[in-house]
Amino acid sequence: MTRVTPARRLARVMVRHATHVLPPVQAAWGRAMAGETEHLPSDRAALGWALSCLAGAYTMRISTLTTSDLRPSRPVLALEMLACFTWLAWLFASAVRQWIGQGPVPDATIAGLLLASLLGPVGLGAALVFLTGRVAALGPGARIALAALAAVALGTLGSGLLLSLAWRDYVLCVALPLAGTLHLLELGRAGGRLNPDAAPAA
Amino acid sequence: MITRERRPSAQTLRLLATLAAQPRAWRHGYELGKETGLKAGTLYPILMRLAERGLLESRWEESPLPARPARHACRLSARGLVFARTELSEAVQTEEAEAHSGAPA
Repeated sequence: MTRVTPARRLARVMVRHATHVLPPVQAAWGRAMAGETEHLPSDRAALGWALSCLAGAYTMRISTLTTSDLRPSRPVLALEMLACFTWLAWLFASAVRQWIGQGPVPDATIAGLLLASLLGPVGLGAALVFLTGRVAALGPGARIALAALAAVALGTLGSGLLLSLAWRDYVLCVALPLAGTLHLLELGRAGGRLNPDAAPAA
Repeated sequence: MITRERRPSAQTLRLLATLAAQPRAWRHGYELGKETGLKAGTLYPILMRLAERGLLESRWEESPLPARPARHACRLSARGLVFARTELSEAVQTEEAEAHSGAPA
């Protein structure tokens, strides 16, 4: 059996890492690099080859990232949207509970809170639509409506008209919903297609 | 029809010239790297892009050596050969035009 030198072992490790760094769609080329490394005439050549493969893999990966269009995989999008809109949705549910306790006509504060936090369930609903793939894109009207709803919610809550917010609440009620809305608008504009390289839907 | 995105780089042209010189031969990465003077980190991204555009065909070859993995080999596809010849001839024309006009290459 041929003894594997430390240099050759290091070359293998580097090429294996390069294979993992490459975008999934290029996995076959990663195997090609790895196979080629085993056929190089010397350890020195194998090390140089492996190092260059690693640099090339990172270059490819970075170029994929910089040309990305904010299309995440479904699980990532689901987690992101839950993080962005759950708190507002909970606020909306609380406002609904208070409204039910008050009677048919809510007072001005509850009505304002209902309107301001409506972005929560709407955002989760829109995310669900993308996650299930039921629509290909949001039309201009839907995007404007979503943006207007976000403007109302974030303007009202952010300015402290209804609630006096601590900095953590600003993150939960303003910053995260703003980020989620912007991402939804981008997805709606781009056609809502999720990243084909990423894990498929369950 | 071959759609052109942008002019190939000097390294891509060098690789295309090497592949087009022996269009029927299956070539390995290391051999291509030595012939073109390109390092693996430059060579493979170019090969990947050519393959993505359908300009390259590839196959796996069993290694004649014991306990070695299969080796990846590639060559220009029919489209790739047309593309290579077109680009190489345009590159030559551009070079000649620049030489005649005295512009830097």
